[in-house]
Amino acid sequence: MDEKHKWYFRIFEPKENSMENMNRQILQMSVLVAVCFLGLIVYLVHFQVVESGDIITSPYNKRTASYGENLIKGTIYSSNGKELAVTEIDEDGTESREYPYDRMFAHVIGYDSNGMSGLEGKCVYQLLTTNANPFALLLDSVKGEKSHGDNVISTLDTRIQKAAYDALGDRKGAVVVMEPDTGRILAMVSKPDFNPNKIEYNWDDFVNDTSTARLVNRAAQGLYPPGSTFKVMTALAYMEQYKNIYEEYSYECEGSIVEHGVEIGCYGGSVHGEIDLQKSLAKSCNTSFVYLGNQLDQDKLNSLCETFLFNRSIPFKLDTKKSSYVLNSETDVGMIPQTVIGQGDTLITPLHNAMIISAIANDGVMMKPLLIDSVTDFTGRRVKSYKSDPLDTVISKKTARIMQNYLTSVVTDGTAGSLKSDQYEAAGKTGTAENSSGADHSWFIGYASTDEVADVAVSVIVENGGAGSTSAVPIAKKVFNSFYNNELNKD
Amino acid sequence: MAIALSVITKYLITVMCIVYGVSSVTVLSAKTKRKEKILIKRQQYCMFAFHFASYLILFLKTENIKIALIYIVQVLFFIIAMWLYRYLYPNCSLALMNHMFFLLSVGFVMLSRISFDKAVKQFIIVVLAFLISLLVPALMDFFSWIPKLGYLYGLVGIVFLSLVFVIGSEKYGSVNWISIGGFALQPSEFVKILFVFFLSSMFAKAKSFGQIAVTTVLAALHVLILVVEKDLGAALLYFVIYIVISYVATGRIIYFAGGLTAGTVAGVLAYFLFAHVRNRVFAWQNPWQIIDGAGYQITQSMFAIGTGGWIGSGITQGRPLDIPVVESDFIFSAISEELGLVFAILLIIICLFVFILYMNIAMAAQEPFYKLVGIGMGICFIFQIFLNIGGVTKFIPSTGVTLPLVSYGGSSIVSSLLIMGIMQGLFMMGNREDDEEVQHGREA
Repeated sequence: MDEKHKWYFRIFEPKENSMENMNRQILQMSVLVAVCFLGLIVYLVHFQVVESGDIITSPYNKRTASYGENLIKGTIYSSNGKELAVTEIDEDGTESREYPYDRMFAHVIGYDSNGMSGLEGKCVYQLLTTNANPFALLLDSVKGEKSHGDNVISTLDTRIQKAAYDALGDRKGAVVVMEPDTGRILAMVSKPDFNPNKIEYNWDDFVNDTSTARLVNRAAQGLYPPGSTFKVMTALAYMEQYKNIYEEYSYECEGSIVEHGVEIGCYGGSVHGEIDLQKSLAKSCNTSFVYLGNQLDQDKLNSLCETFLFNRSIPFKLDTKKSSYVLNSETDVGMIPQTVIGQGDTLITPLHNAMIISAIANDGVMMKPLLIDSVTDFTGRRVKSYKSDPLDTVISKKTARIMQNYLTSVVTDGTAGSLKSDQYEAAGKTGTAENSSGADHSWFIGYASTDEVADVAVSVIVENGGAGSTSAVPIAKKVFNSFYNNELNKD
Repeated sequence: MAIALSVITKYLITVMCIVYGVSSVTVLSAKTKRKEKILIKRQQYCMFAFHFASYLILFLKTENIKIALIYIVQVLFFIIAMWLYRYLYPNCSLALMNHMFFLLSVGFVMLSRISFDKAVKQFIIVVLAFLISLLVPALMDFFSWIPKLGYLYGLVGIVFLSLVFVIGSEKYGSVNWISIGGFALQPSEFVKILFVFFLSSMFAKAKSFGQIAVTTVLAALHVLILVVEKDLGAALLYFVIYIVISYVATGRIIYFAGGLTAGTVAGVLAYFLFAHVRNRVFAWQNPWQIIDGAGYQITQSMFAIGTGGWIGSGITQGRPLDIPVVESDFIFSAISEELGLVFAILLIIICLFVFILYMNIAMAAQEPFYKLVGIGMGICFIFQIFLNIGGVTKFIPSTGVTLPLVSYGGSSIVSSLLIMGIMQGLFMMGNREDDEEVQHGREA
């Protein structure tokens, strides 16, 4: 056979090409083009329907501001129907943005000027656009009247916010109140604060004063050592890694322990004697936790922390900081003793700690924190509702239930004894975090319930507030009391 | 009241574009000449109404008498141009002509809104280029040697593309412009027409692998020069034109599959070899991380499209000037922002109609050369649109090509109008051959 007619030459030779054949190939190419463009159009529609809403609210998009020229910015409401941010128009038509609660919602609602912050900034697109009937809008513009942008209904409750705000008082710190089973944020307080009604006058002072950082929303962006609240994570890791024997765990606390050449003592020089895992948590026994923490597979502890969203971004409407947990099997073993009791390099935000305690209270399911309930047009017609969104089952229901028992004993028989109440049953964990800024930070994370289902969770930090039981726990108590009094008032 | 008018107009403009689009579909299946004529007229009314409404809003907003003047001059141009086309070429494709003027009118409106000076400059170039393109069908008819030049097209193309190495200037990081007497020309815009002619001429007579191999080497040289100039969009365009024409001409899937494979390998190699390619891809995948730098343009474009929504902000109500080079590569984003995504998607569909008309013309052509020119020009037109719109909407990485007939840019407009002229020429050639065949049939 001629070399030229081997198959590998033949497949390159032009076919005997009739006009019909070429037309068939032209048709094939046309179909291919049509498919590409169909893909492009589907992509554009998908972008508009699904993605654009989140993207266009970016502060880099200067368009939203110019929309405001034709619309009156919508109102932000609390879940109990109070105005939190509203545009007032005086007689000569001048518009001004007002915050009826002054400082109380300073960080979470934010402000409209100076680059915007809080929900004011994140919802500017919803507030400055409208889903109202186009004919109503047309009628307004024919009459020469400005229409209203949509309203945002937040999940915040003014009564609980007030309780948390007053309880924290003049101290620096943050309070986050959350519904464990829905992720709804009922209150979010950060101090020191500012008056959003006067932000423009005080702006330069605030920006220059980096030491107090009063513009920062500590609840979502403040990174603190978790202190003993982290023992919850260490205990969960132990329960996971020693599934069959953790209930028989026993340790003889002599007030101090040396591991990897590091000496750790119990808080205030206490000696707890023989204790099990439950009592170790109730008494917040450092030496017991250093002992059991040293037996943990550090990589598994690390991955449990990542499951609980350490080192990950937290999906939230407002800007957040990532909590960090760095220990694993390759890092310096000398860091293990401090780290398992919540010191070392670990950092956490109050919001994240609220999510962790909520996940335990919610039988192991971590919920996405929710700050917006719905969006309505100016007539009150609901145009969008935000649903509760489970993020992940972070621990099994069984482990969560046992941990709930342990955390209940922190109140009945431990460091948070002042939370005992006739009205509800509370549980949680105190924390006292050493830090470089002075006296210890005071922590409490916990929840309260009247039956099997936890109603409300709280995460409190008081900067330099000393022991968790002295500063943070009383704030949690006021929040719980306010929550249950409101519940009673509902009926 | 001006606001009310602008709100009403923005809905009207969307409606007019929908009517235009629907007429474009029904005209394809019009049963009678009379029905077809009505639909063609309806398209023209829609176009003039869109053009009028847009300039009215522009005029009310700017209160600039120059806007009114350019509007009147443009209307005169449209009327005279339409008349001239039908007078000189009674057999021309009116559907294709309408689409050409519609796309031009969208470009005029958006440019006047973005920059009056650029709109004037663009308009003058359009008028001149239109007059030149009017001659094209006649020339194609007259010069019977056009299909036979073969290598000459390729060599002239390579020389012109190489000119930028001698007298080129850099713009937006690519060295693909030359200046002649104060005019900046982009040779790749013109050479792509020569390139289609070159491939069509070679493949139409190619009978062996050897001939194809030589053609392929010359085609690869075109692409290589464009890659060296960092004109990635044009390189990709030429490459796709090559694989489509080689497949259609030979009927061998190996050219298509092999071409795609080679292209993918080359793309991956380019990614690892050239930093500017990596930057493009990174800016495509993670524009939000580098929003202050390489991601600025594409994120602003996404803001524009997203904020404009379905119906758009209305002409003059958006902020298209936030997007760098919005008048040229990113004009689609400005259209989407102010005229709305519905309008923008209809614009894409109208471009597809133009492509379908091109394909009909290619399929009706009776000689392999003209068939290949038809598919080549069609791919050249539609793939450039895909690169442009895909690029500015983050569907694919941005390659920096213009939107034919709409974007600001002299070279782009002239070459797009020349292609329109060539396709009209092919259309009339095909129709005439049909007629002759019918007559032969009757005689037999």
